[in-house]
Amino acid sequence: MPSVSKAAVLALPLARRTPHRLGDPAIWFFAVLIAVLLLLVANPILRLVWDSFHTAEGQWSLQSYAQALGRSRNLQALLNSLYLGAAVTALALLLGVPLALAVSRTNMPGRGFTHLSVLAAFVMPNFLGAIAWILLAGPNAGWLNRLVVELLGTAKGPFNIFSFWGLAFVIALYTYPLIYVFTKSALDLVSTELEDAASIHGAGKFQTMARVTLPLVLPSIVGAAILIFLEAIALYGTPALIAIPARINLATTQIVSFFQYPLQVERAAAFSMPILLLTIVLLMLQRRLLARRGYVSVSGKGGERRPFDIGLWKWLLLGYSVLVALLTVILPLAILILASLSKAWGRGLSLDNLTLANFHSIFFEQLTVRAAILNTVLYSGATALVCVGMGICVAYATQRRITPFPTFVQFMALAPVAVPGLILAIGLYAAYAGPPFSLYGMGVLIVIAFTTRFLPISVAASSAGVRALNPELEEAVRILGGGRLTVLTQVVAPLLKKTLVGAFILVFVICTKELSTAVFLTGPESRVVSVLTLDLSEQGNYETLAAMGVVLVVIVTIVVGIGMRLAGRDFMLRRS
Amino acid sequence: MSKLELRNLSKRYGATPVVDAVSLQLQRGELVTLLGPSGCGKTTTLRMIAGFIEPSDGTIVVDGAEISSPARSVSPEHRGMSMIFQSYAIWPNMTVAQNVGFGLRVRKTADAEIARRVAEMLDVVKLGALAQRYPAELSGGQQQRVALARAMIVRPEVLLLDEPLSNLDANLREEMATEIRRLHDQFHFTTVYVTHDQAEAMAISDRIAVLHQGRLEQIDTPWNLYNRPRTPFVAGFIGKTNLVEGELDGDRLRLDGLAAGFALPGGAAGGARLLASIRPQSLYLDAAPAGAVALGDVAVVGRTYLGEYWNYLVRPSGGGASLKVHAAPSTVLEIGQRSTIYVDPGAVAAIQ
Amino acid sequence: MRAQPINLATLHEAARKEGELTWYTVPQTSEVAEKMGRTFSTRYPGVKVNVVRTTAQVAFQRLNQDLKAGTPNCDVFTSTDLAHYVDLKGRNLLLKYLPAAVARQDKRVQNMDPDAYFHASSCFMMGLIYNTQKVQAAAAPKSWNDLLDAKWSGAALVAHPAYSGAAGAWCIEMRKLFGEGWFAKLAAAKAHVSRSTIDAVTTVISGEASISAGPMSLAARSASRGNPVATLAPKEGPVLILSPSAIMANTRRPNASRLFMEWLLGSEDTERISVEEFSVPLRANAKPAPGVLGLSDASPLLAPTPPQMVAQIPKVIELWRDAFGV
Repeated sequence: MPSVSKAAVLALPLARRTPHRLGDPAIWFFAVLIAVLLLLVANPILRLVWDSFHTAEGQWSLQSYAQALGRSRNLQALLNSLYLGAAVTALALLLGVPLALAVSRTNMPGRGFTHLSVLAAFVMPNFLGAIAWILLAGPNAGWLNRLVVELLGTAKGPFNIFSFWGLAFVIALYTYPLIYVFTKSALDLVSTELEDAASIHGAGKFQTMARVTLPLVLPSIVGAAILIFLEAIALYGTPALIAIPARINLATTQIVSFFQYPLQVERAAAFSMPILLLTIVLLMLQRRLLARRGYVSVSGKGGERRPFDIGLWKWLLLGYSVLVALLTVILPLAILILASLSKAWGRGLSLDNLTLANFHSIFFEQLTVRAAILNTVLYSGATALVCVGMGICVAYATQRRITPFPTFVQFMALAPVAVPGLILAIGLYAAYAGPPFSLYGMGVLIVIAFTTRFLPISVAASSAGVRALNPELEEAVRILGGGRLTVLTQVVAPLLKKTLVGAFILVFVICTKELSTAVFLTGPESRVVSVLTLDLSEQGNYETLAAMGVVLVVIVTIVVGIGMRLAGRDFMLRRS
Repeated sequence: MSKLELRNLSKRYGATPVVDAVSLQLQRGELVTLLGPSGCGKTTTLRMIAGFIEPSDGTIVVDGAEISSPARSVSPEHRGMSMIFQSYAIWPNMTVAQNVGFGLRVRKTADAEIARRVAEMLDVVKLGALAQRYPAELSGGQQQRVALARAMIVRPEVLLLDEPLSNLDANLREEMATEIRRLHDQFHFTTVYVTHDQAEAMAISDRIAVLHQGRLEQIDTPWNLYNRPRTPFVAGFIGKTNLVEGELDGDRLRLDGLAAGFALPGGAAGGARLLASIRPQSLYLDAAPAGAVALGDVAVVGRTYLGEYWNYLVRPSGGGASLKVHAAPSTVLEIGQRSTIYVDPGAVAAIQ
Repeated sequence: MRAQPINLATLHEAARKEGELTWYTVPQTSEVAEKMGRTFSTRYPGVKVNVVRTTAQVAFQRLNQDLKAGTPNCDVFTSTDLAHYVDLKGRNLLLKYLPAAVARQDKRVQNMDPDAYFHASSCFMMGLIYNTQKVQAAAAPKSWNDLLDAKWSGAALVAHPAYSGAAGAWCIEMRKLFGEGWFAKLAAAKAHVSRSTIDAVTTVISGEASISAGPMSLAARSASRGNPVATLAPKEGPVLILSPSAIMANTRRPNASRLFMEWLLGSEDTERISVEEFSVPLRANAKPAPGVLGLSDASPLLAPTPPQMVAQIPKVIELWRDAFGV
């Protein structure tokens, strides 16, 4: 039966045209999809766990755990990471919550500006921000310190970026957008009537915000805080740049040291396990928190929302917003641009220090830089494409229950969220770098790694889109003779065009910023800007770095701008 | 051989039966309506016929071949049926012509042929001028017609309609109901129609299957359903009625609370007690047409004047249930007034 | 004196068929390394050089990753950690090859590996570096021990031996001079830690650090470009960092690699570049740039032997980690 054409089949009397289930190409398509998902997600993680329980020779042993976790210095690294996570979360909350409140609920002027500045902070890669802040707040040569010394005549500037709080500060600056997004999404659903009721009862403006509005969205805020915490402990780029000079050993820098000679993959795997477990536990907690919708007592359509008049407080908030924009975007970009145009950044601002030589160098002389920029754009684009394609297929298959065990398949597609990038990289390295796949050093491996890491974003976005579709539109295709694949390609995908474009650009941007996943997997041919930044920073060559960073930011901004035109202004800051 | 047959079809969600042992047969070219209040299982039955839901028990047979059973069901794309959905489900990313021609494209018909048949069908539903429009530009009624055209152009084995008129305004509803019936008469597709609106069902169906809590109450022609309801639910659901109990003596029925009995045409089998369904318009007060039988005294306990008729609520002097009577505007009675009630024996339906 | 021209020409022809080679290198900045690659390709058209510049530990780590994965990426490996080469040789991963230029090298660096698996391709000296705007010449540090001096607290910079091969060799010598407890004192003096000795120069230039232990050649070169930096040899003696080069046994481009080794060790180009970069020349009786110490000029000269490098680098890394916490 499967080999007969569809028209012929439908022309037969019904009695003779009951084809077998296996003849349906859709089933094979989705079976392959699941197999790929298994390869991408399950294999590396299982391999990682397996490696942690074996020695290098392949024997079952707990030795790796003993070696990895037995030394007090290593345990201190884990502890330091936990402290760092807490500090970053606190700072990010301080940055994100007031801004979300201001933009979502109040009549603060310049809300559009604030929203844009959060977007800009999101687009800025963490490691580039770290470089900029080294230039700004290096204890002796940082420009801010020099400014203070000149203006106030003190011996030394007050800022030292090479410290625990300096590290936490930089990380928080570029992760706070997540807090903002979650908080704002939740706040947008709260009806103004609740605030009106508080006002009528005599509550002051501040009191209302603090005692009525905020508690309603607490679950969302806590949920976002958990994500920030997890991201902070899993970060590698900024710690490598700042923590090592600051002499703070962190879990991620410790893991990387296991990768130094002699190669101790098993120890790295064992050391990663506590972090993996912590991540899973916290994520489960987060899901339960956000599932409790009871807190946000709304119709789901938001009710009536008026900007809440906060009187003179709005100027304070605006000032705060401008300060945040300065710290996250304006100052760092300014210093990066200045450094990129300098012969030697340490010499400071002067006409004879200006040059275009750095840009000339990266485009025409330092071929590795040019290649890295190209690679970044290529891999990010490829990843985004694969993610979007796979994402819509997985989302459709699980939302419409086409595959067996749809919940399990969806779990697998979203599972990588629970694995910190560095650890996932180790797993992928263990699974695919060597024989039989031998993908080490090839661009394909980077695309695989990024796809595994960021597929959850695309699946989540597509799932939300599919859920919002009227199922009758798909049933109409089927009853007229179209199979599942026809439904997907002729109706579902075209209707979700905006969602898919938005997902593409979101994944693209996030790929350009990604460092931890790429660190072990890039070979000489497949280096990307993030890893190259780390390499170049070893030489203290900040002028070239800054030039490279500026080029990257320009490219990403252009892409985001295109995305905003195609998919609407808010596509990147909607909570998935 | 019947075209479509449901044999003991059941669907359970957990322990709750949503469709309970429904059996019916459709002949080729018939238009049968599944009628019932919401939650009666009519939509579930329709979706089982379409193949979107698999039965828990029983089978669906088309042209003698089994297409649905608990063990295996043919998927919807291979049943050769068509469906019109409650939301019309017109694809917003395609033009009217593309929507209508979709089924033909799936069947790999030649492009020229598709164009010809689409144009033809659009003329049939009077949408010829709107072929290149997108659904967003169409009114509800026009979208309805597109759905009709799209479903019929493929000459389906069975045409399924899921409450297609419920989203239209009242005046449009009547027009579209007539339209659907006209198209049915033109093409003679075997059709299963689902609705909760009994007036609609009466207007367009060859036969109506009344469903209640998953069970098939009665399947019959509209006339029989109205005049010869066989269950209390059917009697009460189709039009308004009085359900009264009475004593049966041979072929004479005496209703509770009323002195006189009358001969029940067609007799009644079974025991001494009987439940009868009597429409309010078959009862008369004060005066009655020829052939009506006087039953006894009643007292008026309530009345409403509705312009075209009086709606009286009367209580038999011998006690018993109150009865609703529709009387002509000229029959004016005060509350508390006594009167004689008459019945048209031919309009009394015996319900076991 | 040149190598036989005929050999080079044939080698070039064979290399051209291979088309390119990948060079993992440590001792130069990426700028210089890429310049060298381009110069080679100009001298020998048709043979492209893919330059990968990292610190010694990272280079070795990546090399091992390549090997474990079975992907022969690197053709010529130039690093600053002798111990790595001993290790690689022991695992039969190097190609035996004796470039003609070795015969002309200074006796002190000539016999790096008697079995001819790896050879010295460049060398520089680690000395004291200071920022001339912040430090008067009279107040400049004179001894390695001055790094501990309170007046440089928080303003001295040293490179991490777990990342930098040169730093590893330097730590071995410091341990010999001052004992194991010296590193803890260095940490207590709040010395900055960088990942590379190159950073030791740029950070001093920027003013973020005032003094450092770093490559004298790079400092001299930066000074010649007008940067506010100067370098001097401490009284205990500078530390000689020899940079070996070798061809990987599993190279897919043996001819291009051999050609590159010949060029790297003995060509006019590399000699000229080494003088430009203020390096220590390897050829016997060669003259370095003015102001630069040659092999005969520095006395005393601290230099760890290959067996010492192999044995002691892991130990000094441990001491460092315990002292500094990272």
